[in-house]
Amino acid sequence: MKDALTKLCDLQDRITEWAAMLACIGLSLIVTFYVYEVVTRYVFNSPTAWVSDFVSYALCACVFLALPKVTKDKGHVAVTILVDIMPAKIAGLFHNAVSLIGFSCLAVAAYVSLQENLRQYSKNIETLAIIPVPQWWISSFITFGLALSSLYMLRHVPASNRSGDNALVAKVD
Amino acid sequence: MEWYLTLLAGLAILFALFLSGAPIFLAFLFAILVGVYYIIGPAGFPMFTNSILDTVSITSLASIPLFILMGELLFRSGTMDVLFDSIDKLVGRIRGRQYVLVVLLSAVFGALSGVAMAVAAMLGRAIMPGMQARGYDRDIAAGLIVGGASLAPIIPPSLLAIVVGSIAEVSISKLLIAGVIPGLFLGGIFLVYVFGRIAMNPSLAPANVSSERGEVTLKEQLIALVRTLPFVIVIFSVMGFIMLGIATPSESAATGVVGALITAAIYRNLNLQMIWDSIMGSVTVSAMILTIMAMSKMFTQLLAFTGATSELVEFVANLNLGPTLMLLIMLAVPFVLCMFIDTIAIILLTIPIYQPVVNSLDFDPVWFWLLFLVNITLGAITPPFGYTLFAFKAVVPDMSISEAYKATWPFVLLFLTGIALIIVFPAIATWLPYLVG
Repeated sequence: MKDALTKLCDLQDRITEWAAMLACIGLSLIVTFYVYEVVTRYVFNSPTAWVSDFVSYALCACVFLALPKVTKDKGHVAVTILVDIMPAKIAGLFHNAVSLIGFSCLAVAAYVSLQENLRQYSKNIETLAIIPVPQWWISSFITFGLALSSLYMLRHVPASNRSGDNALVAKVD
Repeated sequence: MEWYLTLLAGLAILFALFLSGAPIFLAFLFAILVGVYYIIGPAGFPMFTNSILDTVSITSLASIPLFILMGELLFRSGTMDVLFDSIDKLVGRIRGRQYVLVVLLSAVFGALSGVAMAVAAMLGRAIMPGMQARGYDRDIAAGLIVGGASLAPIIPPSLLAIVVGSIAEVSISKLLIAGVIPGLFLGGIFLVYVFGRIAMNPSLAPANVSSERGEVTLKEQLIALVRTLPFVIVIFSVMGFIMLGIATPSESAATGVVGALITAAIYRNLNLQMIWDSIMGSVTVSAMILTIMAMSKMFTQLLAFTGATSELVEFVANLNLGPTLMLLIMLAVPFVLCMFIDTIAIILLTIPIYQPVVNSLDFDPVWFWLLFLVNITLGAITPPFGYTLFAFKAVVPDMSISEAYKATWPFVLLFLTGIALIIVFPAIATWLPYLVG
């Protein structure tokens, strides 16, 4: 059972890393196509019709492909003023409560998002854009990001995953 | 439920979650899910996904990861060190030259990074020990570094200006350009203050200027000047393209990335690993920021759905306090909140509530939101909980937090003076953006 869980966690970590790499490729493409757009518009007087739409789709994909890595690396911003001055035991309780609430909220949000993806798919809803695409192509990245992040919140609960009074976030100071 | 109870309950839940140490995006998410369930019912959940999709698909927000990437490339490639050395050589051998160096570096690094905490940490680590060793006044040096770093979110390109402009639906180009004069103006106020103090008490700066920097020949100074020229590529590819109307702010962020790559290449600091690390750093930080933005947008839509926002606007409009008093109250609230809570969270929380009030009071949007930006920047250096202050303190361990507070207060007052002058003379903020377009 423990081995199976470890393997599942490793798989999740690998998927998270691949997703973050895809997000990096997405951001590189945003840079490339924006520069291409400026050049074609001002040098060749021939603006494209698709760059703006591509950027909006890619931005959504990048954000939610990278979200699991941010949650895994505890890279979210939080106000830790109170938690930092609490006794370690109470801070630990807060950590667990916040992790569990985080898991629940993100899991519910992922479920709600999945339902919406399925509705968009079944009704063949497209984006409102010059180059429309099926909306679920884009919104399914949201489901992916929320679902994987919820699992990381659950994985943050055990005391062994707590590296300080509050290990959910990277401290701002 | 009465509108004010809805508003208070929503904000109370958020604050409680913020203070519990929960990630900010999670605090918003919790409030949204509970709010949608109780106010609209399960039928309201589909709007959750669509609201997030709408927010993170706004093309102007693409400038956030792109500007972060530009800053990452410049820092990771080590090109900032070149800039540091060059400016050091260019600043003359005047008494108190390191103070001038701090202000100039703050302005330039602030422009290139846009993040006050990063500049405070960098200057605190790079300059503070040397200043102390050379006999510069510790309080002035610390206050100047923290104050100077706070010019970063004001001088363009500024991430916070983009976030404020996107949410407040005010021209991002105008808001970015509006930061130029106030940023330089505040830097000037800092220098006037410092040299005024030195004039009254010469012991605040070492008398032996030649010990601080060896003799620099005119040739060396010319070489230093030439070495700063590649940075003009970065600045021109961002601000130049915006001001000339060649590129939108988002597109100029992309051309700025190319400018940063060219600059790194000129200094022979370009390699694939550095580029990849920069992209990864940008993607993860952007994901964190944009997730918070998406959640907060949904939260404000929920507040609007309950009618709390429109009722608040009507309530405020009927107070008849007069525009000046309203302005002061509207600036005081985020100023106080920024001492305790993350700047972006405050921006996301207050702008949707302020936006209709600003319109109803007929304030110039560029002027008001620039004031708002300077104001929240100030909140981040104001004791007892300013985040920029903490970033500085973290890299200067031998300075106690109470010493850091003491050092910062004069610069908080200088910032307030600057804000007062921008209020009295709005042209400081509005002249350039309206001149350009």
